[in-house]
Amino acid sequence: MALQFVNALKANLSVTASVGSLAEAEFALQYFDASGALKLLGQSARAADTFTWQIAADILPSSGGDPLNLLLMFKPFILQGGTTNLLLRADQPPGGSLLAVNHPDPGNLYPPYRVCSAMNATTTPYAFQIRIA
Amino acid sequence: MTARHAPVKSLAITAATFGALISATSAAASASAPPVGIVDEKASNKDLFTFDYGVPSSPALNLMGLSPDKTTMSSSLKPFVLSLPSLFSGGADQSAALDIAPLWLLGDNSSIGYNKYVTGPYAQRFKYRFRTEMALYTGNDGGGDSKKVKASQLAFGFSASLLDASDPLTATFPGASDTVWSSCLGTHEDEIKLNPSVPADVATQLNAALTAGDQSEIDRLQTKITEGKKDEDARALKAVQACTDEANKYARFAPNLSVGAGANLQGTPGTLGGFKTSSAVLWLSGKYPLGTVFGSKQVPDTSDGGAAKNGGIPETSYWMVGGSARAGFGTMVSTGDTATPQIKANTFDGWIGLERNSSWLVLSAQAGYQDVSATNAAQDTFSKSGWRWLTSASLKLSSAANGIWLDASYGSAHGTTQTFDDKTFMLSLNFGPANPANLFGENSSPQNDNSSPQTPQNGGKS
Repeated sequence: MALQFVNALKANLSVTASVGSLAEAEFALQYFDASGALKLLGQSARAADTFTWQIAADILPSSGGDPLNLLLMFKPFILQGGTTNLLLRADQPPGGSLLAVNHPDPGNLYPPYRVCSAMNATTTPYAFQIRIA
Repeated sequence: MTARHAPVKSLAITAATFGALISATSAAASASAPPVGIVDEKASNKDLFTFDYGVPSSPALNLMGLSPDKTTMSSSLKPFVLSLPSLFSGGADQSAALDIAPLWLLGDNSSIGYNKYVTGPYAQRFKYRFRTEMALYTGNDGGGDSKKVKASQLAFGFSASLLDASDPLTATFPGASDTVWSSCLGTHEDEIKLNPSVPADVATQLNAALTAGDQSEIDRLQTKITEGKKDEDARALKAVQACTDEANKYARFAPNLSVGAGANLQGTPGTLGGFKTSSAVLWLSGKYPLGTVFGSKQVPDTSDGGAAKNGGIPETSYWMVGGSARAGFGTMVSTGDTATPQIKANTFDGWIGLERNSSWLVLSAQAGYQDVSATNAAQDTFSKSGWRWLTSASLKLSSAANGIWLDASYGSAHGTTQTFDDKTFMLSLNFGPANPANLFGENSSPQNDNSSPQTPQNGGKS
């Protein structure tokens, strides 16, 4: 039902990642399509500290309640004093709900929550799942 | 020369000295060879010829007479450092210190990314560079020995670096608007670029693990992806480190202005409490590069290219002028008098310096004024003031990478009391890289360019 709502409004789902304080990073968000293939949704330019992807409604699963599996990768660049915490938030359309299955506390996910941290210049993946119920 | 001055050891190179010279030279000018003194006329009071630049990294600890070396202080951009003895029981001679960047403690840091820090309002950056410190010292009740009695102390302080130019996060190339850090990362874009590719089999397994909600498998596959990019990441880290060094270097040789203040309360010896007697200190320091030319750059160039042109020694050439002032109120000052060993006084210590550093010649000139005014008119005989100055030069006598340097310094002090009258004269041969006066902080010399100071705080200490 909710998915139909999303499709009907042509609403997009946005995912925002930021790398923490006084730091910058490169981000890339990929999704698994219906065939299980990994496809790039978008990659930030160099030296971003925040990046937002719009996930078009037609990428979302065709069946209500089915999850969309995503892989977020980031690579932080820290000069000094910065932090490497990857903060993630997903803004859902009204009435929807989001779930990051690989978070230890899925009941307390957003807005933004820390999902992982990385060493300077280390490519760090964060696989998660969203579901619009 | 007065009688209290140490005698001039020698005005000629003795046989032993000459032997040492030959030995050191034949040892390929080993940097480990000790300097050979030719003239060594030490000052009676060497403190007269010590010119401290900058605001202390911890004004509170400085006021308490505790060395910051005993406490690992935070850089201006780190949240805080708490220093406690292994067991703070409140016993004698125990100290504790807390160094905080208040914005880290109270502010919302998650929203301040690098770009917002750089492009946001100046007040925001100032708040990040603003640090406060608090220190406690229990003192000692002496256990019946009056000579061991030390008052307990409570001190507060703050310090801040005012100019963006000396902040490695915001330092820019001369005449440029882009920061050194961002510009450098752009130069190394190929090395640092994120490669989002994932092996097909890993992607398939990851998709299955996500669908199944198998957290341990997700974790394992994430680790596998990271490990697969180990070589790429090592290359990126090397580039990032190079950019860190570059940003720190430009910040060090940029104009700087720092302020600091501290207050110290003294209380019951051996017990924290009864604080009443107080003193306060204000610091102000600044430095300004007058221009350094290497190629097209207006800053010291210690790149490999510069080193190659100079037998391995980083090619540097710059002028730096700066000064520092310290005003104390109600400060306890030693008099050197047995009947009245200390007095309470208002003090002022001002200093200006000029430094020239190049690959073959290092010059410095410093002049300062000190004033001590007893707060109690009855102790005015201990009030004093005076001028002091010190010049030094290091001249490279050879062209080898770690060659022979002739170091010379001469200083004189004159004031209203005999303790302010002093002189120093040093002449020596040094085998190895020059050890310049380095007036504006231990890391301001490009000879020390491998060091990477991690704080934009405190002028030359940055």
